[in-house]
Amino acid sequence: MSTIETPRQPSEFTVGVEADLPPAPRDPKKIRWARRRRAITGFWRVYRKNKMGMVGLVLLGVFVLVALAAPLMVSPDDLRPATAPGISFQPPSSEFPLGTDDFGRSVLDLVIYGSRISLLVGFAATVMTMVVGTAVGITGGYYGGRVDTVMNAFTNWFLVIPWIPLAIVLASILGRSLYNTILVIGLTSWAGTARLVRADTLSVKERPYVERARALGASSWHLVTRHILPNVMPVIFANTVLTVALSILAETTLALLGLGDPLSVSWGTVIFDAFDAGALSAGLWWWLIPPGVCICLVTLAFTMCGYALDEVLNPRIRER
Amino acid sequence: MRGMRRASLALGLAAAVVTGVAGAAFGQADEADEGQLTLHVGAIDDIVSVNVFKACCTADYEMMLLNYNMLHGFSAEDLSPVEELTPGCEPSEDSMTWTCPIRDDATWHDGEPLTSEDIAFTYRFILDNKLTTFSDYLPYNPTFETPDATTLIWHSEEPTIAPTVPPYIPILPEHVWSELDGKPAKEIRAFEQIPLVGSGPFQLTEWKSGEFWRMEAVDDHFFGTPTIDEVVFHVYGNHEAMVQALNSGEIDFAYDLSPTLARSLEGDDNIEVNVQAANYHTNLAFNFGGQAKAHPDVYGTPPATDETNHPALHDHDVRLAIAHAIDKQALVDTVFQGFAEPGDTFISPDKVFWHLDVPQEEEYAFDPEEANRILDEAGYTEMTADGVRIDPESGEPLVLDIVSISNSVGSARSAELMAGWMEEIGIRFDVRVVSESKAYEEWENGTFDAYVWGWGGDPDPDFNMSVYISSQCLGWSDGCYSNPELDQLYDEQRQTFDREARKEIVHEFQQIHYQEIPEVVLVYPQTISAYRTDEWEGYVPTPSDGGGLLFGWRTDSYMNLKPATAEGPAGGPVADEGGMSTGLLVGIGAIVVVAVAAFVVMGRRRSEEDEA
Amino acid sequence: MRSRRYLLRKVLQAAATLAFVLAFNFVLFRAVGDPVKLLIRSSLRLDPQEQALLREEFGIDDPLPQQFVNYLGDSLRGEFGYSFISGRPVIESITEKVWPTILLVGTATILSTLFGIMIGIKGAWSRGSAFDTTSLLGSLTLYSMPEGWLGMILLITFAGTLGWLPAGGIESSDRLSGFAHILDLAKHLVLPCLTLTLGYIGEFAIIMRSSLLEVMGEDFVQTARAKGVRDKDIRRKHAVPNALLPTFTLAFYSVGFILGGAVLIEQVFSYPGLGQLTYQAIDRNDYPVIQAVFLLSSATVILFNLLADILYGYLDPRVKEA
Repeated sequence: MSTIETPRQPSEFTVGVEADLPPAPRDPKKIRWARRRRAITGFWRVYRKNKMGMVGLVLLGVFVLVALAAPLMVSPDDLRPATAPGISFQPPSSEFPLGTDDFGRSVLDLVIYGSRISLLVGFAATVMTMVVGTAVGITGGYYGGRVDTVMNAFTNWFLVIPWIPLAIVLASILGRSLYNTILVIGLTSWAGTARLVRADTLSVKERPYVERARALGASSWHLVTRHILPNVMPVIFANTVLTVALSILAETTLALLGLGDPLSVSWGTVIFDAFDAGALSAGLWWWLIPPGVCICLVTLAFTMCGYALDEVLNPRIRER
Repeated sequence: MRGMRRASLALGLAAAVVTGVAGAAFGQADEADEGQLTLHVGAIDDIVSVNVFKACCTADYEMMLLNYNMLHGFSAEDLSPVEELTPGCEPSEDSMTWTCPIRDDATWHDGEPLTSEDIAFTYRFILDNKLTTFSDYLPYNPTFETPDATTLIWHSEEPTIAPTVPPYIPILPEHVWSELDGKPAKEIRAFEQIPLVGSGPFQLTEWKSGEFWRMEAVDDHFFGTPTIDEVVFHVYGNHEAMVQALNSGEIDFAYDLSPTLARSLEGDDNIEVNVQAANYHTNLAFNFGGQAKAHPDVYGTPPATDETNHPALHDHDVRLAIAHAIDKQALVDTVFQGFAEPGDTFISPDKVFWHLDVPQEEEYAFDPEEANRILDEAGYTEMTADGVRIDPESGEPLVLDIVSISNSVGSARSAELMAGWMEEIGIRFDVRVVSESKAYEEWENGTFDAYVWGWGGDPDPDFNMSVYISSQCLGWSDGCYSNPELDQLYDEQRQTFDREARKEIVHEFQQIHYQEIPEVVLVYPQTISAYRTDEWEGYVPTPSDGGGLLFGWRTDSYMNLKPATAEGPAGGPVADEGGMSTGLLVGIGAIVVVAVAAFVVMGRRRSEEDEA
Repeated sequence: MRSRRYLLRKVLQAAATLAFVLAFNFVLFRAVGDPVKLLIRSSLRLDPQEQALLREEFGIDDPLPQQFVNYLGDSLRGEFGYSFISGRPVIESITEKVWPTILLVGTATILSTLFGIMIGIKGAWSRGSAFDTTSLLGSLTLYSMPEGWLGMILLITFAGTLGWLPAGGIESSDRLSGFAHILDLAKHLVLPCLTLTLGYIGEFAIIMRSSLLEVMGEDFVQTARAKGVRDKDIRRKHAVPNALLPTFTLAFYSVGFILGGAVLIEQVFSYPGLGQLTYQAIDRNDYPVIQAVFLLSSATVILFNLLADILYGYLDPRVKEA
């Protein structure tokens, strides 16, 4: 599994580039915010026209809503084996629209609740990836020289370690829990982000206004947080969206290998349980198909947004 | 439509690539397979090694059973020892010397005769080379004598019943293994030989690890000559694939199916489901602490603290309350889909002779109220804010650290269910799921309060009892349980020669174990198999009442199977496959041609469009 | 001259990466715990004497630096020790299982790259057409699909319901030889290979499409167009060759990931390759095997990345000394 990467060009939605600012406001903070707001509205104007991006966004919104509202729709007691509401393997009915599993839990409940875990793993692992990847990438790209050599080597190392074997080893050392799953995914996916961010930092660093700021005696911290980070942001953002998708798929793979946390209900663990029990041969399609379709849809939503972002942020492939 | 064509082309290309890669293998025409009667068996486990000293799991033992003979076999009725290489051994007055007449019609697969010398060699080989896999069957430093080819004399330093337990040791050919005598254990365990020379009714002649292993029938074995010519055991990565293979006739017998699948097969006309009486139990084994005190020398670094368990677990009332709060029937119904029996004692009911059936009125009924009453009376009346009882002595809430093992069937799900029931009685189970290796670490350091695992054992109860004696702390003991009464009973039964008298002791042992609750025996899971009835008939269960058909203690089914009469001679699946592959070949060929043509045409049309 | 230095630098980088992986592997598996303890409880009952022998054999009582040197030597010689479970030398099991995986992963990589590129080209060229939209959506969907789950469904559909293909394994046990044997192998390869191909085809199609679109926006294409060069020729001679580069490089980079994906797919289809070996090793805590697989798959990825870099360096004139 690798991220979809295309060589990126500086985009017109980056901030701080505009040479001719309109008059007022004078306060530098306000100027900055005004600029950002303008960049964002400009971005949104273009993004809105991208059909695929909008479909992805709406789909994503639905899943996030479901995940957030899950505790309102499903009582946790219904998910506990000891207090499951139904009997095992009931086919879909009005009471259980997606039938029941071996414990007699409603598969619909599992799928609704599973969205929380799957999205949580996806987002948490992505946050980890982003923080580590951005820090390493910017540090290397900004400081250059030896620091860069070290950071770059480090990134390259982690880039080649095949993630499934590493995940297997880590899962057996750390044990099986949700946090470990997140940790494993984060550890194995930050390197790609770091590489992208580094490349972008290198190009931003060379821009005249950054050089000017440096000549004026701006501190490194100021340069990184005020100039480089905001400009690298679009790249990070587009990458984030795809990383979430990949993290969700990674969680599924780990769960299907039997390395997930069997005590938490995620889409991956539901599929694993169903396959392990032989659900499809036994004709219990409602146990195995829905969680897979959900993974597919939510990942698709993320990749559609990511793809749209890519088109929007990379002017060279935008529709002529 | 275009998408479809591309997919078919992908298929065709895949075939073409394979053809290229495997092209080197191009050779002679098919070896005639016709007339061969092959039984195809599907299993999830592969054999681990053809070396008996590496035997690990069911598959290895089945291979061993077919390929070798042992001193005694097990009876079809109750698994008591019966004639195999010897009709029976006679003890001396003091039971320290046993004389076993050895049959003279046994031969090795390579034609050499099997004599008492081979048996003596095998036993000495195990003891001299410290091959711990089997050495427990040869207690009290025995020595062996062979006055002639048909007599084995077994001397023991102490009175023993070991020769009739009986020793579960495959007899090895001296003329093959003697060259390994005295070599390091590692080298002995690494020895591999195919075809594997043994003396059993079948011989292992081919093993492709991860794919299948083949066992060919031996002519004129003293067990008789089977109708089938060979058995091929196929390895499947998962239950779904195995069941699909059974449905399509690729295999005739599927061993160890998931309960869900077994249910779905019950309606099928050509498929019969066999449920094998349980031969192991799952347990909730409590930790009694004190691992640090036991043999730190053996295991290197001793654990940091002495008492790592919850102190309240030493209170019998707490264990009793937990036992009352577990709904074993619900475990059977949900975790095992009905394919299990609620457990009572630690010797599973398939060991008919030794198993103690606890009368219903003495069983710990599922009764949360009773459990609450017991805890209230025992003084666990104070509660934490979230409703967990507090141990009056230590002041600690009854929050127990429960370890469940990820690859142990039903462990996590059982733990999950129990955690729910415990809430009803003010006890909290904090369940963790760990890998087996992690579990061993926890077990060794004693850093858990209870774990959900299980135990299996031999037809003889000796091993299963040894788990609960004091000296087994950090040996086979789950949580270093110690009870002088059980220790004494264990030693007593080891030297009790009368089977009935020994049974009394074994029953008493089980009784005390049941009352003292060092573990709660949860359920006896059953092993489920399914087989096609249109291919073969004549499967024989072992033990005869509710036993399994294959993968058991006897070879009866293999010896007795005949092609099903309704269908005529077997070999249906083989013929089918031949027919199918020709069809497939033609199909793939046609698809490739069509797809290539389509691509050419499409390509041309496209360039025309471009030009337009 | 420049290219030789570029090559040298890449090779050195790859060597450094390999060294890191070796060290990482060492640390990782020391963290698992004392292998003798694992061994004691996993399958055998060993007395203290035998344990001492094993400790010696594993070299656990040596000081760490000494252990590391031994480990390095052994790894470079391809000696990965003995499997805890089967007692066989690990390298033997691996060489036995590596061919089925090469066959499976190789075929799937070739097929997915090939078809991915074709779909990508057609999509980019007829941008906005029905084909483009459908194929893009299809590619994204395939890309989003958990491969294992897809494999399960294909298994039940084609081996179960339709009964067209065998339910698992790499060959039947019927003592076939010659063409029948090859056909038998092919028949068993179809489903796992199809699953992996479908799992990766989307990615290649998307990359090819994006990179072709990008190339088409570049000046030289625009110029050619302005000069009145025929569309077909622009595509064949200018755009596609330039756009192919990132896709091919991706194919090389992806080998490691497809290898990883094969773990699950081999399990679903009972395919006796490295993936199955890995899966069983996890199940039985056979650390020497897991360790060797980890090391070898990392080395493979490093090798393929190096190949990709070299390929890139030679084919893309824009790659300069950094």
